[in-house]
Amino acid sequence: MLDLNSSSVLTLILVVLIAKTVITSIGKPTLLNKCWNLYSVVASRAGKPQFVELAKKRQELVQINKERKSISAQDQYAKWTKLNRSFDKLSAEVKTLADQVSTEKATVNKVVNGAVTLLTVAPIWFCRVWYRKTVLFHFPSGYFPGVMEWFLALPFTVKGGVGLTVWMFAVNSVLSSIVFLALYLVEPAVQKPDKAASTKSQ
Amino acid sequence: MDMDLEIEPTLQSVILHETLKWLFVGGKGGVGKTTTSSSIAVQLALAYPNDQFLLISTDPAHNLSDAFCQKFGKDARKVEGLSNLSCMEIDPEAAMTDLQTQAQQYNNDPNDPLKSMMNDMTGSIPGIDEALSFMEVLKHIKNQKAGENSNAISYRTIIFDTAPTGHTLRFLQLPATLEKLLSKFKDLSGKLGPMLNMLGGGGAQKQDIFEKLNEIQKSVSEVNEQFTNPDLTTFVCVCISEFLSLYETERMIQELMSYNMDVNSIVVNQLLFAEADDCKRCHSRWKMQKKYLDQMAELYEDYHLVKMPLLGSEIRGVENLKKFSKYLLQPYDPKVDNGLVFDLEETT
Repeated sequence: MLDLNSSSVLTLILVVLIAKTVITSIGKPTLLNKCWNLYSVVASRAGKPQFVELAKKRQELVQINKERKSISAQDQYAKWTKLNRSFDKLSAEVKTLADQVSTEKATVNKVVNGAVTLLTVAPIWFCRVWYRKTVLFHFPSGYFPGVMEWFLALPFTVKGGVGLTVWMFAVNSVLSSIVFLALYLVEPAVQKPDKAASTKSQ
Repeated sequence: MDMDLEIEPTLQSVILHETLKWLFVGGKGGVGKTTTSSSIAVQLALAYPNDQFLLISTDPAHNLSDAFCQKFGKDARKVEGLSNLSCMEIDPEAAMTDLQTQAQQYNNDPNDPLKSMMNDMTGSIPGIDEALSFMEVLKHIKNQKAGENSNAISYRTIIFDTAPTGHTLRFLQLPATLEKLLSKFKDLSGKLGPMLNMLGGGGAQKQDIFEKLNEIQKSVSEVNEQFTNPDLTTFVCVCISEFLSLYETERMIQELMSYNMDVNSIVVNQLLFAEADDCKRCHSRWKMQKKYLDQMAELYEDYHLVKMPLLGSEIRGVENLKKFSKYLLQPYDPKVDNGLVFDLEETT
């Protein structure tokens, strides 16, 4: 009854929508954070000077602070003040370095955002435009009522064909059901409200 | 040869400086700031009898009058017994209220939204009150010159006895802040201006306020340029040999350095030099002072550390100041100069 056509378009849309669903269910901020962590690990392994220096300086700062706290300011005033001076100097340096790193973070975020758009949003719109007249499935004309046939033909295919819009809608609803089920298994159960405890706490 | 490398523990480099125009004396309250600034002024006046000097106190709790046993006001007045030194006491608060009343004059429509904005803005720029008080000071000096045009006094050096309140010289970072703020504000009023006009604000008055702010910015940058030039301006820190005073001094020095101001002298006041005394408490207190002195010597090895003794009574009057201030130029030796401690003339 159903005649499968243009299977490459079908799979392309499927893959793109899966990717999109995965990204939304992970959450974009989490993804950005993960990517940044990965980048900073890789960059400091690769010996990018800013990261290495920042980590080193932060450690030094902690060291100085420890030392400063371990001595009496009044008994060893000169030493204490010298530590203060180097602490101030170091923290200024750390601040400028941290600023540089955060600019870099903004760049990385921008790149990741761009990649996400390129991988998910762009192909969908491309397909919507490019395959607007492509028929993905066929069914005998007159099989469904006329209104439904018009709907199935969205956006611009002939009657008796199933278009891209309906395929995307179907894939999306299946994926969201799967995500819902999967999250139901993964997420911790909501605790039963304990009436006694809640009145006590108030 | 060795002597040249050693940094002498006196204020000679300050007092015998050729081009110095502005000299600031600062420190926390109660460390002898006024005594020190008066002493420096007296020594300067004695060193150059043919030049005029001016000592200005910006401390709201004015005590120059007490130090010289003579009443001073906000116009420069000559010190009796030292004809080339004048003093004045200026209230730094006056300038701020001045600006605000002026803003109100320009703009007396109570419904103008710009009015309260201006007040808030002028009040909230960090350092503007200090800047204004210095402007007030400079205005006074200028006025004086203009007023006595026939025999205009030009001062060789002007000595400031600064107020002990924290960031006396915070305004040195003001020009940059002000510039940023002004450009932002101009932007904003360019966008909102027509709307505000429609609501009933006068354009000309706003222009006036801008001009005023611009003027302030210009004169602040001028002053700033002079104050950060080590050939023209230097700062003398005053402290006593105790923990908190040293700590505050260190912070002040760091702050001044961040403003690119020249600091190379520290006066340590109220030292006991109790070696030859019988007093047990003096001995132990002197021991403590020596501890901090040693630490200071280590910390400020490239500064002039001037050690001044604690005397038996308050140092008041020109004659007493002359006696005391001698030791700014020539290190105090407790064995030889011990007589100074109880040698002050009675003043009432």
